Amino acid sequence: MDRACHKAIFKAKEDRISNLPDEVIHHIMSFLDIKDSIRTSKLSRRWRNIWTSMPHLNITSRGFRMWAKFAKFVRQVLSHRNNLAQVSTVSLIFTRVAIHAFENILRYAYSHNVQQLKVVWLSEKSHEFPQFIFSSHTLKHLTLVYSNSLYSGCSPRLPESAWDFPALETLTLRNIHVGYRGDKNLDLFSKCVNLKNITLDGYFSHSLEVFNICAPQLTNLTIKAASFAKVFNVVAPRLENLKLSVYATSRFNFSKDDFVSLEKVHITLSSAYYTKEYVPVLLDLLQQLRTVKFLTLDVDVIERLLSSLDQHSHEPCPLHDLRCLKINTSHVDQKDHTGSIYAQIRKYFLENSPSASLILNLPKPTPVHRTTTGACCLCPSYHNRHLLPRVQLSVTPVRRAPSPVGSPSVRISNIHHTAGVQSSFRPPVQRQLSPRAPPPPSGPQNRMSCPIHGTPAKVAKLEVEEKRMLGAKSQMHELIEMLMREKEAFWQNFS
Amino acid sequence: MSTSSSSSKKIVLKSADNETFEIDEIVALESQAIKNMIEDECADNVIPLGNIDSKTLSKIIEYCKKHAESPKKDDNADIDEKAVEDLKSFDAEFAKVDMPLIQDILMAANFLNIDNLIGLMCRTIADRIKGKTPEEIRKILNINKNDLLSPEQEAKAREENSWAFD
Repeated sequence: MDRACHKAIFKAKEDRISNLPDEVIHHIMSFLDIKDSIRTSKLSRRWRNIWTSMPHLNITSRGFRMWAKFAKFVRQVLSHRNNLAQVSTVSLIFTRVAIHAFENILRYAYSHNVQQLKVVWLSEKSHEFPQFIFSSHTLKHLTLVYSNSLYSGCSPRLPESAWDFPALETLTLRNIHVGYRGDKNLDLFSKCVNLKNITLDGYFSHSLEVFNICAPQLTNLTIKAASFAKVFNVVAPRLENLKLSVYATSRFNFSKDDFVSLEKVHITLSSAYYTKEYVPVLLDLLQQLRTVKFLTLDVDVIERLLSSLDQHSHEPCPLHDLRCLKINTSHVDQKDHTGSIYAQIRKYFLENSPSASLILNLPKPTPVHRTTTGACCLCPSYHNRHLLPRVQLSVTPVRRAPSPVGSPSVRISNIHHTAGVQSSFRPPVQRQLSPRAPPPPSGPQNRMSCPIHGTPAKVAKLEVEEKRMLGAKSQMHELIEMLMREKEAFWQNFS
Repeated sequence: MSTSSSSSKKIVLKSADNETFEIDEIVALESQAIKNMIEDECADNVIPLGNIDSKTLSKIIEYCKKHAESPKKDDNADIDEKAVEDLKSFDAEFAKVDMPLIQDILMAANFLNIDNLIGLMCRTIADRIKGKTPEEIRKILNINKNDLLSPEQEAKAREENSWAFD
């Protein structure tokens, strides 16, 4: 027996794949479009009917020129399938014209105990999701994606009475519009008692006053939106990970019970439009999330908070169990990060968690992760000089400038420049480094190491980074000049 | 979790061609089948794997080692991201082997019940047959020529499934 086995293994040209059980071949098919899966029926007698019982349906209407043809294709697929085989996973990419065919697929899937459904909607015309798909006792994972972000108003509509998914664990909505019927108060998930992961990334109607999330099992929650309900009420006693983009006029109310298991929180701003309006919202959030252990804040969140502390300090920082604070600068324009800001961050955020580490997350594509447990704060001018721009600039989109002709679509606000920086609006080649930064290394005597932890190799790396930043900076200067010219032209026209 | 080799328990695997591999228990536990054997205490010092040759087995051990060593999701978010990236590129490199070896690994992974590895091999095979004609797929997968459809069957199949092949 052993020998026979041995012989079989080393028979080089054997068809091993056909000997595998159907479920493994179905697993291979789960990575294929359904057309490719059906095509395997021609391979051999063994393969002839394998596809008919596969539990995965990956169907797209792309590639069908006429919807009638697609509808026929779907009818054939469903009628050729083994009706006893369950459907575990359905992945659909579809356009509006194919709606009836897709309803057929979904009805079939729902009657065959579907557990996982992903729908990607590619249409420019508005449409409602069929009501029946929001009721299933088997569905565990649901993902709805509207992939045309240019036409957000046409995002497919969701029913707004409570969804009936008692088994649902993971819900992901992307680019989807919520609250379009004008309801003031939505409680979509009250019957989804098993939800563990929720990702809401889309639009909440401006008329929506309260959006409720009450999920006793919830561990991961992400809310990232372009427009918000006025209040989000969240009851999630088991929450571990939270990612929020916050908006100045929108509040989050978490249930009063302490989050015993809260681990990671990541806070970003949804819009750079407001400045001080964000402060109460952010302070309130920190107060509610005070048991967090790993906190990530975008640098603009930090700026809003620190600016308020200058004025009416000293409410002590509510965070008391912080192990790590990460500051994310990767998505924003470079700003003036001097040593003092780190000292302030340390003083405020780590006040009650002195052993926590502070991490600065620099922009990609050459991210430099630096953990500063105090060390880098000691030599900020050295380590941070590559971050410079001395100009603090925020370019904020304007809703619609009430202007006659040639109105600029953007507006420059808050240009603070420090002494010695008047030159920043000259062409970049003539730019001087600010007197606060050390002179650029020009010879070996300047290639000194950071007294604390720099090495020549590290310095070289920083220099590369510096060059890259300077390049980006000069582009910014060109942009600024262009905008200034446009602004002048605008005022001339206006007067 | 500890991966230090000095303290942890060792498991010896023996391939079909009688080569033995000594690995940490933690690496062996990546295989659900071996895990069950150990839990049921029916694993002796040496586990014979009479249907896996040494070339395949060493590949599989390489995979399990990497995945066992990779930090699990209970540390800092940073580590999560880096570890995920690292594993991804490891998997991509790992799958760059010829089809016979991929099939051997898939068979062995299926036997040993190593979920992630089954998935990786299935995805690799799917990527290689995507958009190909049946004739090309037969060649790529080395489908048994004695099992081909007879001309009549093929004609019938074509008629039946014409809707799918336009």
